[in-house]
Amino acid sequence: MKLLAIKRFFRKIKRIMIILGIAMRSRLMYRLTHRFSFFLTVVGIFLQMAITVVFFKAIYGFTVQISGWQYHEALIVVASYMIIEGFMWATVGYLNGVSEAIFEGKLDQFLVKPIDAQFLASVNRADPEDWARVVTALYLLFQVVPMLHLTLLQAFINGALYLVLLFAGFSIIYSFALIIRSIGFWTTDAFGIWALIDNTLTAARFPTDIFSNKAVRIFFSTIVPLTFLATVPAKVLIHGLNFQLIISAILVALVFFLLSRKFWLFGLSRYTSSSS
Amino acid sequence: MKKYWLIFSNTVQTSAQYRVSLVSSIIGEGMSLVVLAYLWYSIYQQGNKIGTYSLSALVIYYAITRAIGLIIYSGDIGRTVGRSIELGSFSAFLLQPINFMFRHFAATLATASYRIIIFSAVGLLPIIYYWHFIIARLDKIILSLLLIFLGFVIYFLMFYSVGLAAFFIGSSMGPGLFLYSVYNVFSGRLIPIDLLPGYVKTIADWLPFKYSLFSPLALWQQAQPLSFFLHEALFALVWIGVLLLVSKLLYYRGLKSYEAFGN
Repeated sequence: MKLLAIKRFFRKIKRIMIILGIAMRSRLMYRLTHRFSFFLTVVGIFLQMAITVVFFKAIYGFTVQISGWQYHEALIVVASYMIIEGFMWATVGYLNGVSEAIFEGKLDQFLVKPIDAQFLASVNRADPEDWARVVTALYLLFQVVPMLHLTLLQAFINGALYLVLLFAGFSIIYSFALIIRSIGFWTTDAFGIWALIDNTLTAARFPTDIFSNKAVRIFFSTIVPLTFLATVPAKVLIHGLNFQLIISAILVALVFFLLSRKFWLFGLSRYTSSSS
Repeated sequence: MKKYWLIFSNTVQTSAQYRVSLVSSIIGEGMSLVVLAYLWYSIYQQGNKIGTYSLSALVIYYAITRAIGLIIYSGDIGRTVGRSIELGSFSAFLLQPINFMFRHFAATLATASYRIIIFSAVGLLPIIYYWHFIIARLDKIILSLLLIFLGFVIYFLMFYSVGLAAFFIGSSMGPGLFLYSVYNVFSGRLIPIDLLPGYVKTIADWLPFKYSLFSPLALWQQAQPLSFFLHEALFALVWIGVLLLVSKLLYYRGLKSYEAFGN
């Protein structure tokens, strides 16, 4: 019985992966219809990433460390955020598809299919050009991590934990974005909400230790959990195992994921279609 | 003129209808301002000196650039124009006795005006509180507002031209993102230009980006003389002329290559 349940679970995962692959492939084909624009978008993304690094270089021109973070350590936070952000764009298009479907009343096309509507609405607007963010971030990581002088074993353990925490960070950012996007079920103007998500979450590029005020630090660890997006993974990569941080990150990710699911379903019950 | 006034008033009404966009933008920019303030605070706390800026001057700089940004970027003009060409809805304009650029300028100006009205209401309390300071620098503030308007026109023309790029490459997304990235650095949005290396400042002086954010703020924050305003305004006007020519050229060339089907 248990074996059957496990098999069913893996079959479901396989199905999800296949659909995700198809969605990403069709988006890539769509984007490549305008090749030069696609090329310019990729260049623009590389430029954006480079500007972020230049910004940090400019800041560190005035100081040697910020709240205990040296330049190369802060770049790990930047790279971690870039990876999560890159995955958010490249796999679910930062949930732009959700806002679009709500605004245009086209969510029906997902609701009538025999696959979870949240999943379909999430993956239908993937932006393949944003893999450039992940590539840039990985390049940055490979440049900076050797400066940490980790042993091979340390690098392996810290690296594995880092990946787990990045996944938790991705889950948090996805859930947070879904909650905000779901507000569109009431306001309709879900596109404008993008500014709120973008401005809030990009703050995760900075080490959250800069928040010297305790109340602000609690706010950015619980209500808007920026701390767990990039700072915690970077801390674990640099300093190694920290049970408290790892368990907190996984718990926050789980809570946010369940909360966002509940909120999505609640919002969906208020959805009114405008298509045929 | 009456038709553009109609577009203007309709867009103000639409902006008032979709208020969430503005509210979320204000909260988002506010959040980003808090983070930047903490970042610079942690640097100043170590006794570091950042150019000629004190911590409060830098926070005010970021607060005002964010507020100006919310007004100037309100129309998302590049995307709107680009999408109308990409999806073919541009065809409808061809049949109307209306200037395509003026139509979009009226709409962008309307969104900006609506935002100015809201900000004036929100900013009434700080205005009353800093009344003496405002009166003392009223001449500089008025000149700064003039520069901001010129910067607004430059921003509109740049991104309008980017939108027109869709005539040639099918989509305006790539050039739009590219231009916005460059704009962030050379307008002083990311960090005041005078805090960046000297060569960046030299490049910024030859580009049209700094007139919307850095120059107006430098005028009153650094108490620059009238000659500074005249110099910046003159260069801004030259850029407006150049960008007008470029946009006209792109429009008429693009019109020849434009093709669409459907109604």
